[in-house]
Amino acid sequence: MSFAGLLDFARKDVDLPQSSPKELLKNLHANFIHQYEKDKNSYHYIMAEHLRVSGIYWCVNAMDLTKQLDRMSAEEIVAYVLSCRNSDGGYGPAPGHDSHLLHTLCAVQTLIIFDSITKIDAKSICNYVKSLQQEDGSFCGDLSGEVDTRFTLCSFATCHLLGGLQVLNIPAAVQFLMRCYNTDGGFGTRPGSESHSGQIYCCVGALAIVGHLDDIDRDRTAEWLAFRQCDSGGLNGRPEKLPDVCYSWWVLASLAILGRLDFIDATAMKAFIYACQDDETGGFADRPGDCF
Amino acid sequence: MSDNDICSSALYKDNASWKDITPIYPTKDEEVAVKIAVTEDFIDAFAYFRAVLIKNEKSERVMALLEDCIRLNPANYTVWQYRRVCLKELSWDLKKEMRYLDDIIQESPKNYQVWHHRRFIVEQMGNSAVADELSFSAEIIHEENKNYHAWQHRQWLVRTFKVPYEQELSFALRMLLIDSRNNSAYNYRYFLLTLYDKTEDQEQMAIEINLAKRFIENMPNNESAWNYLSGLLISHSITSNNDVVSFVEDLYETTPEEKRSPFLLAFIGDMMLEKIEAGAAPEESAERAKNLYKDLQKIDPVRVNYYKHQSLLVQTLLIKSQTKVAAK
Repeated sequence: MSFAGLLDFARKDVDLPQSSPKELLKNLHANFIHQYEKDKNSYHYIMAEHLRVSGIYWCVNAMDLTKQLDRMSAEEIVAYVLSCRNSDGGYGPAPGHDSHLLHTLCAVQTLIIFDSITKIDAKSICNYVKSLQQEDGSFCGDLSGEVDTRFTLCSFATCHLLGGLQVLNIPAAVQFLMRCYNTDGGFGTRPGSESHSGQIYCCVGALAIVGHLDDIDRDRTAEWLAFRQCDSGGLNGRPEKLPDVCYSWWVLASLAILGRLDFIDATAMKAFIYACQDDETGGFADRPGDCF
Repeated sequence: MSDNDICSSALYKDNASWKDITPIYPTKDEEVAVKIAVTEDFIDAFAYFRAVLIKNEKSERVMALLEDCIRLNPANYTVWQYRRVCLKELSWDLKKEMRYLDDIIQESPKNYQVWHHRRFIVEQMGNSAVADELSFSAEIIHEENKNYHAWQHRQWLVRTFKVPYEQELSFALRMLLIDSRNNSAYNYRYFLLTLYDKTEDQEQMAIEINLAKRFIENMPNNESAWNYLSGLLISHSITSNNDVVSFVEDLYETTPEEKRSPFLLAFIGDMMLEKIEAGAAPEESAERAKNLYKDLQKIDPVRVNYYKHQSLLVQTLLIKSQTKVAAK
């Protein structure tokens, strides 16, 4: 075989170690999160201040999914989230930090999980979101002016959950999303940017919220997503990148929205996800063998 | 000897030049937290950061404090945002800021905030920054050839400052010659075609199609090259380009069965779907497509359900095309 021929079959992937877990270690993960919440003096907790509200949502959501939400101190968490509100109507990651769309959505989602949505002023949140929409329909994440299709999803989701979608300029926002739609069927962060599984989730999700999924060639998008599965069962974010457990969510959720969930080999994907678990402490690594 | 040398502690709370500031600690558990040595610097610096934010102080010492905060956590966007406010107010030397950023980006090349800050500085500097920026982004791309931020930064630069098309096409080509599976580089070429209105330019499109063909020939198992080729043909159709059709058919014929790549078979599958829809030998095309999808289920088993779905699609399109004929 020629050198080029050899390279040709060397697609990027990983092996699943024989000894890796073969089932979901649900309780171990719940304990991991519970411990993290309790130990507010740990290095990781302190260092994560700049993304705390998002971190809270991820933890709370995982506990909710594993039906162990009652182990979390609801009152304390709700009070903390509420204390992250700024005078512009948005939420920052921690008290005293600037508002950001990422944390505003996470704050709303967390409060919904804890049935506390009546404790916030929906109107001022929606107006905050509206203030970040640009003339071309795109959204900035915060005052610094960074534009990204991630923020379109955050905006749509936040306002949708609060019943305030009508304050946004939806036609302009959809037009901007479609400028980020690439010939391979995927979406990028901005017009011209490369297709990426995470951004596809954001754009497909946003289009679904406002009933515009028919604006794209669903089959072409779904095909690109199907090709994200590697032989190991794991999914990658772009062609010729290593699989990473986070893309199990971005790719799968996008395919679910497109009604094409079956394009993924579920058994192989589960084996990959199980192998990413840390069977000592709980929690997941990005790929098998990367636990630390 | 400077003050720093006399002071035995590197913490702000022990630094005489910060005596006028009362730090603001995040929680009442401060005492406990401070005991953890590894986070002591962090808690100390950010306590002073909170305090200067409230005081709205913009000064040289604040710039130094911000650098410490960034070193401790480059992902904190509030720190970066405040740094931009200070830069403007202090008429800070932007070239110095760029040199500082060079180092930070080398250390955290995947951080959103650093790249956003860099773009802000380039905006302030204008045209004089472009040449250095092109070489800087090239350097980062050479280090990690799919770095999303670096490619995006380069796109912004080319769009904003109208960097000539030919030179950038060559840059993308050089990156593809190093790694012909680099999806970011194909995407960049397509970005240039759109930016400079070349997607309807026959001559340029022929060059691009040819380029995709050459890369596929060398490496038929290259998803990005196949996606590039089908993307170039998307606004017309694959089968409308005889040159591409015969290239693909030749490749199929000359490759031994066991070495045919899934992308090759799937591409011909797409061609057959087009033919059925166009009513061009629909029965034969459907037959061939179904056989291709059967082969694909064997050679690419992880996508078996996708190929089964495609087979069903063949059947649906065939029935549609037959009803169309019957209706005539």
